[in-house]
Amino acid sequence: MRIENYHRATSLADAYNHLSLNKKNAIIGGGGWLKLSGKKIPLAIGLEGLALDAIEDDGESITIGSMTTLNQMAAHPSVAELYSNILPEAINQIMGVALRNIVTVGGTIMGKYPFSDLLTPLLLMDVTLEFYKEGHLSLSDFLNQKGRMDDILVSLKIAKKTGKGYFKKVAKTALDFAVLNVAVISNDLGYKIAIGSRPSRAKMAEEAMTYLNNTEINQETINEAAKRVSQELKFGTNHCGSAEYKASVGEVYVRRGLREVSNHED
Amino acid sequence: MKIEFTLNNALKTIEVEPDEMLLDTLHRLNLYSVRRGCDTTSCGVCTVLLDDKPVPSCSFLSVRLDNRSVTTVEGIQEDASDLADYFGSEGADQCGYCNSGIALSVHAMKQLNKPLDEETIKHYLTGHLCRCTGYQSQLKAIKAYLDGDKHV
Repeated sequence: MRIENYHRATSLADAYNHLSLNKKNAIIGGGGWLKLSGKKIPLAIGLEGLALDAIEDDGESITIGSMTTLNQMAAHPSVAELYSNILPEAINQIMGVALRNIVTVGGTIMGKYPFSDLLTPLLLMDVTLEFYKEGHLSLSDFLNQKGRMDDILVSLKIAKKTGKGYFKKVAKTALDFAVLNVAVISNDLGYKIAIGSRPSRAKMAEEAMTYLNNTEINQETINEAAKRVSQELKFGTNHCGSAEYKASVGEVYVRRGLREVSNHED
Repeated sequence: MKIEFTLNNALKTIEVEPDEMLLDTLHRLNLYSVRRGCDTTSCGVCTVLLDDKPVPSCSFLSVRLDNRSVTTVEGIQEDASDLADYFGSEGADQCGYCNSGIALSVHAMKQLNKPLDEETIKHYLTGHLCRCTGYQSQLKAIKAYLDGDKHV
């Protein structure tokens, strides 16, 4: 990435004003993937001086500032309480400690990275994003929006709910991007399933979830739900594996995930 | 752009380009102990400490260094020398290209001031690639170093 000028924002209003000057201007999150892009940015805007890296737990929800690093997030006890530690479980499989000390949760969300190991479990939770201009938007609505959003992500709010969680990253080596990642959670409202790195962005398996949440949970219905996930979601072929392979592996790990969160082991 | 930061306990004021990475700034300052490897955050050889935490210097913008503290292996010479003895004793050193990055991560572990089990050490070392040693000898050396085992 080529950056022609850099502006250290003094306030959110200042950052937004500079962002609005040119469609090609950009907010820089952690900057972990800057080297992977060939883009030219007239003005990069840094939020590092705005103290947007706090995590607050008010008992009903956890609010995480957009400049919070993935390691800060994974180490926070309130985050660990969500669905059997599912978020730290996903975060701690993202490359190494050093990278996670710079990568921010805001950058991960705004990038809508299809390979993200964090977005897959996060999508299953009740997550509200707070933008400087647009106000509040659910994470799933944001991820489904097409194109770039010319706004500043201030924070994300995760509703605190108790339940069980399962996360599986399928990768060729420990430090590699996921061939596929699978997240399953259960709470008093039922079951949720999402698959990411298909290779496109994480998506919930809505039809399989509806089936599962309207039937008795047993080995047979778990197997059927896993099969439906592999049929419902679209898988694609990339250098990591074929669409058939991803669908097949996805079915296996959804089945294992459902067994784990429902206590229906073999 | 002008930045003011602390480098190995000394205050520095320098000019940097808007897209200059910390690794390039450190090389400009003749700190070649910080290696260039993959240049895309994957290999760990460019690791330095930023406010005492390991970060990949190849992908950290230098303009963001204002009022922050950077430590390279030159800033922890005594610790690095001790660790080198342990590496030597365990045969954990071949080409040495990855050593300075690993030394800084080990230094960060040591600063936690608590006993670390093998899993935690492995967790901290994830992201440091070594093409020579196979990791086991390094792991043994680091465990012994952190435990203060003088018999190595």
